Amino acid sequence: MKRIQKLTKAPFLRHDGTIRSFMGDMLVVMPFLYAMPLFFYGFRVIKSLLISIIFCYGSDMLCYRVKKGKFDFSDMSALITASLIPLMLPASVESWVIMVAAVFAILVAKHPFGALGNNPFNPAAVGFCFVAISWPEKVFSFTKPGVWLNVFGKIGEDVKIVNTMADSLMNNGRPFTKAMDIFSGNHAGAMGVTCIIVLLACAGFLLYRKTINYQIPLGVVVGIAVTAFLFPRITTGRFESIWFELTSGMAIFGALFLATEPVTSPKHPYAKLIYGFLIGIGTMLFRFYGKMENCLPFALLIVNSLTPFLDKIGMAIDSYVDRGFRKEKTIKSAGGAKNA
Amino acid sequence: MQKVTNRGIHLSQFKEPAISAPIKSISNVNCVYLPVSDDICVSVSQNIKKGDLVSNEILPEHIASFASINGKAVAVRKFNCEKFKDKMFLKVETDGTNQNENIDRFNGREVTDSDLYFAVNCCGIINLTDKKTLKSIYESYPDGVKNVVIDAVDDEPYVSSKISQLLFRKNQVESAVDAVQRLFRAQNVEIAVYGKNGDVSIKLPSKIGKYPVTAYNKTYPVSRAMKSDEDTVYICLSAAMSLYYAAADKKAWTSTIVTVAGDAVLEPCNIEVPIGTSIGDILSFCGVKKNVGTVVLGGCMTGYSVDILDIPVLKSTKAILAFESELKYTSDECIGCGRCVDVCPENLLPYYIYRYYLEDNKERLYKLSADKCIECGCCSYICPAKIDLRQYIRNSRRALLKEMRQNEEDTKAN
Amino acid sequence: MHSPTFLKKTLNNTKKLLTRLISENPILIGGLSLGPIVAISTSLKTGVSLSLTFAIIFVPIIIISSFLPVKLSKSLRLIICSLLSCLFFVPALYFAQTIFPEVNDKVGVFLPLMVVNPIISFKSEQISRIKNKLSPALESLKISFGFTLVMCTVSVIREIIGKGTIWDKPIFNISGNVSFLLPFMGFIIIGFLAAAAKKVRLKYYNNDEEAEG
Repeated sequence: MKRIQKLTKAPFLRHDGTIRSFMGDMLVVMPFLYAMPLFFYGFRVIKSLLISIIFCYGSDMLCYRVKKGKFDFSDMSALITASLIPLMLPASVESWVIMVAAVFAILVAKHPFGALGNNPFNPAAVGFCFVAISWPEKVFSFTKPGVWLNVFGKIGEDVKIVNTMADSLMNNGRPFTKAMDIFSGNHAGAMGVTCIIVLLACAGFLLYRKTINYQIPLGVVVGIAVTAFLFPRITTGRFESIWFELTSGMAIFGALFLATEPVTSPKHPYAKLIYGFLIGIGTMLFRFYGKMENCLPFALLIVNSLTPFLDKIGMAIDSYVDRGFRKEKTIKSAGGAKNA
Repeated sequence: MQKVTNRGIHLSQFKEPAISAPIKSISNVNCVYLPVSDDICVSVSQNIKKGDLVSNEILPEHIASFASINGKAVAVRKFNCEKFKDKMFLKVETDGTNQNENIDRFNGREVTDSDLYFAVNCCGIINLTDKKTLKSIYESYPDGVKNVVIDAVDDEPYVSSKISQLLFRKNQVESAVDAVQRLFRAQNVEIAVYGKNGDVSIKLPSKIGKYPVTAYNKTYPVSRAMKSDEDTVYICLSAAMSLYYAAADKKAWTSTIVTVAGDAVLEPCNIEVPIGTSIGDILSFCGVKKNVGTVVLGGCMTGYSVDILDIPVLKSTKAILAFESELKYTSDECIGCGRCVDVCPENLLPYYIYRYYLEDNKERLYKLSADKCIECGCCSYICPAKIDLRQYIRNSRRALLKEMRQNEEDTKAN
Repeated sequence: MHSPTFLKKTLNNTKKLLTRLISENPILIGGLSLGPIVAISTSLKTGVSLSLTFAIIFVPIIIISSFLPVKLSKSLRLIICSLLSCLFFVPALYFAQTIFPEVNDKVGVFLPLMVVNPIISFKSEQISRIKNKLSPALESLKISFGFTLVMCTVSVIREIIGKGTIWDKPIFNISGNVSFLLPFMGFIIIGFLAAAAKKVRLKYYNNDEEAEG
């Protein structure tokens, strides 16, 4: 609820950034994430994006109308969720799957818990998980990049469905993709998660603008790397195992764009490292014992529920390192104010 | 010596043109309002001279108060504003005999040890860095102290009341630091300034006499984070100058230096005024444009905005800022971005303190150490939803301190 | 013979009773006994069988516990109620197994678990505390109707969208969305129904002393 107020109390100087400018940073990056899928799969990508945006905005407006509040068009958090959902789905997916994911993400994961600022679960991850459980054969069938798909309706009968790198790893086989293909995204996978160079460049820009922090992706990468080093799924060496585990599935995309959402992640610096590490380990556990290829969103949802607990752990670590918190537990047990 | 803190925010300083202008002074004011405690030593319509004791000290709130001009005591009044809610002020009207005293009369004056002891004990000097009297600090170090740091840090925008003394009153500053070193029998003394002053056309000296001038870190806050311990004492520059002037003159020093700046002021400068001068007089001396939107007493980050211009200037006032436009902002609800946690210099979690303050949960506030906040204002500054975080954390801190004091009394009674 | 005001009064009373079913529902407002509901309500047959069992156990227990002395300690009352509900479980089990024999595997262990349903302990405690205000028989019927209502609503929704059948007869030849049969959708559906029930409660209750916990 916006209010215009006079500044009567200090500080009388405020930073230039508003909510709109901080979300705008994220939105500036989105067209670049869609550039490579457009090159590989054609204009069907744009159609998916438009459907997702329309339905996310529509359900957002509906919820605000039900709550009898005014809908503010500068509230762009729904737009960010709408841009992230098609990037996790294959390009050949049908429109109604994206529709269902978008509506579910906004109606179930965002508004019942209190709209912006109060949601404990990442809405994009919730939308993806729902459609992944309901229609796994549609969400996990990928086509070869470079073949442009037709824009409306189902894809043609002659387009082949191929195995991705994650699929090969699940069957304990070493994928044959070369390093150049991995960097440029020239292998089968979800729309936005294959081209590593673009992801790293966009994340570098966001790190410079301080929209995302570095501790969570570091934690995720360390978690995946440590598990891949100790328990490799392929037999041609441990470092190759780390390389393939990190670049398959949506590990890097999830670490940089999904897990770093500020509302659902812990706020304390030490707690962020632990959070990322738990997501990395959770992803690897799902890969070992689960049946699905892209499983970072599932691990993300489980660890999202632990966010306040991780913040408490961070504060406890601080009180032992003596950075600012006290060690006594309650007001009464402190025996009074020693340093009042 | 040690760097104070690594976190905090980068503020752009608007110190020009006030910093390059020489220090002015006014002494022919019409009336002053002196802060008094309940124990007043003068009666109404009594003639008093500059430097006379006006009220005795009742610690911890009131220190001894001295008259800053020659004149007649008229009445005791209160002000109806938020900063001076319950404080009483004695109005003293001038009798026309006040004149400008040249500061160079202190050149070459010798200060003996007994003068220093007189100044410490009887002249009501307060150290603004930690809000304790100089007497109590002196008594808590009976064997002297190893390091003394003179706090000449001006880390808030527009304010330059301490740095200007280093630029334009070098001799007096050197004698004052000598006096402090003799008083505390210190081995190392250094003068601390803020490391980032923006583009100022005047250069800060690297040494004053034999004392080095070191630049402390480049992020705000610096001076609010300076805490004395057993090896180091932080003395603010105004306390050092008051000590020296009081010892040299053998009576209390009753002037203070204030920065007048802002875009509504015609001639921004640093100005030396008697304590108790009202803001309106100072602003009209410096010249002010017709439409003034906001007047702020103190720095931008930790000051108060005032409506009435009768309010007096006290020893702890750093600056008077006058802006043309009324400062407005649009506030929103918390979006949970966590930027307040990134900038807090005391490593606290303002996001959680704000949420638990709204629920009034004192146990959680205690665990989050809400009473260790130094009220610097960094979290309010950076919040994109423009929530008044500093105010909420301040309220929760006061409620928590009250509760803690209550518990201490209860345990003592049992 | 019936004056118009008498008819209006009965209509008013029935309307109040029906809204009380929703606004004083132990599951939607009280949040009790969510486990059996989420696990069992995947098809209408299992739902009906479970709610029938619950009703047969619940109604006699509440009538009996209204005769227990007030000063009985809490744990003793709990033990007595559990033992008595075991006694009433025997006819309930027989009834359920005769009418719905084909859902025995799916319902499984949740039938005996109805004996220790928290609604029983909560309501028996409440009945013995507040005497002379509520008639125990009416209260128990209201609670068991409320339970049945919630159970059947959730079962119908989950079965239609999840499997495309209702009472095991397929409708419209649609194959359902498998995720509705998993527990997480059960919790989400109960959440939305609870929000609707809260709205009904706020709308029809203006004064607080009529509302009960």
